[in-house]
Amino acid sequence: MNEQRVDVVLNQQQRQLLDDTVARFPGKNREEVLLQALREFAAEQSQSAGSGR
Amino acid sequence: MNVDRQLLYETVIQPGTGKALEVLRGQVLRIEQTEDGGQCADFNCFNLRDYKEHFHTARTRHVHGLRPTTGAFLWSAPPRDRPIAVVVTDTVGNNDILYGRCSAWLYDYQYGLPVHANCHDMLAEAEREYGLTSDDVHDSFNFFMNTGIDQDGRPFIGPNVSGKGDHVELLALIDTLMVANVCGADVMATNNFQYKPLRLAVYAGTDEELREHERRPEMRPTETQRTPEQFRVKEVKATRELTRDPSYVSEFINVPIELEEVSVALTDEDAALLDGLVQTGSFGKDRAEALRWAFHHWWIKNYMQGPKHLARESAEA
Ligand SMILES: [Zn+2]
Repeated sequence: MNEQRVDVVLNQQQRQLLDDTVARFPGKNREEVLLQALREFAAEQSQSAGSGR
Repeated sequence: MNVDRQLLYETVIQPGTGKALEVLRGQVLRIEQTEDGGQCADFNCFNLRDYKEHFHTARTRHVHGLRPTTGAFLWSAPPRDRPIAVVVTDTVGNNDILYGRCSAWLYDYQYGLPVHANCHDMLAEAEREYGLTSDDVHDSFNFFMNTGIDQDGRPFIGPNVSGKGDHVELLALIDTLMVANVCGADVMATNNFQYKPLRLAVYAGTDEELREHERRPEMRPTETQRTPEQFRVKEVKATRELTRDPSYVSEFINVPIELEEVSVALTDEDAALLDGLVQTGSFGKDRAEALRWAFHHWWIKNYMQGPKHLARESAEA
C-alpha cells in the first residue's frame, strides 16, 4: 500500500473553525471532517463543471 | 408598506440645498419625488446621541449588495457594526451605495466648474446646523440613483427612472440625525440633467413595523459590536495634529498568528480529487492548498450566515 499524506497549513483561527466544525460531527476527527469537506466540495465542483457552468 | 402614517414634520428641499432632521427611534423619514421625479437624494445618517457612529456604505454593500431596497438595513461602521435604520418602503427600487458623493473637486476636475453645487458641500452645510464639520460628512446612500457595473468592472450612471410621488421610507432603529440633499449632479445623468425639489417628511412609525425589524437576526446584539466604553481610547480626539503616544504598546488580537500543519492521510481517490482541484488552477498550487480551499469553501457554503460572497454560481445555497 502506498500511504499518501498531505499537510494542510492552518493558523489558530482556521484550526478553531475546523475544531468547531468537528464538534458538529460526533465521532469524527479533524482528518475525517477535512476529507468529508473535500469529497462534498469536489462532487459539487464536478457537478457544476458537468452542467456546463 | 402601505401604512397610514401620522405626519410629524415636512419640508421641501430646493435644488442646491439639503436638510438635517432628527428622526427618533421608531419614526420614519420619507424622501419623496416632486414634479416629474427623476431626482437623486444623497443621504447621511448619524447616531443622534453619538455622532461618531454613522451609516457605512461598505458594510451595507457587503450585507445587502450594491442596490439596497426595501428590507435593507443601513449599517453603521465598524466597530459599531449594527443596523441603525431600515428601508421600509421603496417604490422604485433603484438606489446606489457604490458611488461617492459628488464634491467641489469633482466638478472642477471633470468639468472645469470650480464653483458648483455639490453633494458634499450641501451635506456639510446641512450638518453644520448640528455642529458637525465638513470632515464629518460620510459616504452617502444615494436614493433613486440608477447605477451599475459593466462587463469590464467599470461603474456607470444610468437615467433616473423615478417619477412624481415615488418615495423611500426609512425607519429609524436608534435616535438618528438623517440628512438628505438634492443631488448636485446636473452635468451627469444622475438626475436626468435637471434638478427637482424633494419632499422630506417625518412620520410616527408603528410599533408593529419596529418590532418586525427588531426581530430580524441581524438585530441580535453581539459582543463584537463595540461601543466607546470598550474602546481603548474613549475620548473623541480634539486636536487636528497627530502625535505619537510614547507609552504605546500594541495589543493586536490573536497575535502572533501561528501556523500549524494538520496531517491528513489520503486514499488514492482523495488524492485524485485534490489533483483535480489543483488542475483547475482556481484552488491553490498543491494538494495541501487545495484541501484548505475545499474545507473553507465547503464551510462557507454549508454554515456561513448572511451573503456568502463566493465567486461561483454553485456557491449560492
Ligand atoms: Zn451628488
